[in-house]
Amino acid sequence: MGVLPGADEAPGSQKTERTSMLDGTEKINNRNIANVAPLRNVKLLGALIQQLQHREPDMPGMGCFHGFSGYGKSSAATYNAQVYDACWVEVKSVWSRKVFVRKVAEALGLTPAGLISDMVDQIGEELAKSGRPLLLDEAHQLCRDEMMGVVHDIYVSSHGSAMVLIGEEMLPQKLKRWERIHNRMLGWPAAQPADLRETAILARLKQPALKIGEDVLQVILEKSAANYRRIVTNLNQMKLHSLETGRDEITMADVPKIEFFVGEAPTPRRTGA
Amino acid sequence: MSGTAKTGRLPVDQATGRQELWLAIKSIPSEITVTAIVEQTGVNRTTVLRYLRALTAGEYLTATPGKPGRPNTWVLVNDVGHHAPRVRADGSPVTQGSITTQLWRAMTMLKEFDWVDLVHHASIEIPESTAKDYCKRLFAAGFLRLVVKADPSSARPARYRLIRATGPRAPQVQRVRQVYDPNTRTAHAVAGGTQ
Repeated sequence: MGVLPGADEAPGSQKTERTSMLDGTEKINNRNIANVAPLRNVKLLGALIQQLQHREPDMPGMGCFHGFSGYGKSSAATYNAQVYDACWVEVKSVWSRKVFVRKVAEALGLTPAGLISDMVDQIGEELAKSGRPLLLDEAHQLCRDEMMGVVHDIYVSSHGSAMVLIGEEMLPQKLKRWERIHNRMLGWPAAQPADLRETAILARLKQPALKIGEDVLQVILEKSAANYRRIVTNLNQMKLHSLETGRDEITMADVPKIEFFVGEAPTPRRTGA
Repeated sequence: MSGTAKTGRLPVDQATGRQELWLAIKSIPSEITVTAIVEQTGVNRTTVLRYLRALTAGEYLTATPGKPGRPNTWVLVNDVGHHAPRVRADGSPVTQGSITTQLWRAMTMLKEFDWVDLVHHASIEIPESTAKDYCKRLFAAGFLRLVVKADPSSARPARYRLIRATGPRAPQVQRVRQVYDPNTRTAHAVAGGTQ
């Protein structure tokens, strides 16, 4: 690090250390953030889709993106569907095989008609020719023998188009039961909890008018248990506080006055006496 | 189609468009001629020829000049599936409509949203006024339900929920006061519309 050209390295060295400690917060704050693209989970899903689309010919073409509720999986799916023009289907628990294939065909803009087998061929042809990836959200609802058969059929009749199953944290474990599906997985990325960098991005996205110090962001991150959905809720609490006080700068002095959502169920009250 | 010439163009739900031409092209992939497409679709020869030339420029088709006295033929080389490629005359892709496509896709996937969410989940830059206006028009046409009313005093935009998710294609706000839904091929009147 010492041999880098540039004489003004010496006063900045302390700063570089601080920046690395903050995991890129400084860099992010200097840039204008227009959308959710810089969030880590959005990038993870994007990387998976890219990996599937540009894989070697004999590699499997399915992926599994999983994580806890509130980790921004749907947000990641939405942004990546826009970028890769993906076909997105949210599976419901009550769907039969026929409803499932019909919904996939409709999401592709086809006119579903005929038997399940006809529609599977129709879907496979469209996926193969258009090269669009297929995202199946809430895929843990598909963990039934007959549904997994249909997923496998669509994959085979599309000649191995990119297909991503998105679901809850236990999805990979559940998928183990179906070897044919399990063997065709190229990657199993897990949605990651938020860190300070992500909290700063969310603050810039959701509350661009507020100036929130790094120490306060750290408090938000801890109170929210690194859960994206709760961070957004707590950032909204910051905004309400700022409207009450009339100041758009939030410092550590404000923290005790802000009611944080910590997501704990209330403890039982004592009754009697 | 009937032969009687009429001025103006047909309403969008009655017109025969490039989608029909594309499906006709796909049905005869190796020996495409203008006459064959016209026979299948009943579309004007010039319209067909213009689309064939645009597809050739976009490298979806390759053209073979006909021998003297024989018509020119085309061969389909890049079949991209059911949907007709949207190409300009020079073969470059059409970008018109991509903003509403992204807004609509974000609406169907997020289900409950305000205009800020829609802009954050788009991969292209969308002007604030466009996002707000699209929400307003779809709300007036009955596609959205208001969940939380806008409150300027606390800087809160209106939150909507999509209640008529009809399919993947974005509804089009038309110049006449209606919103046309290409998924169901129906037009919805915009309630209480003052321009």
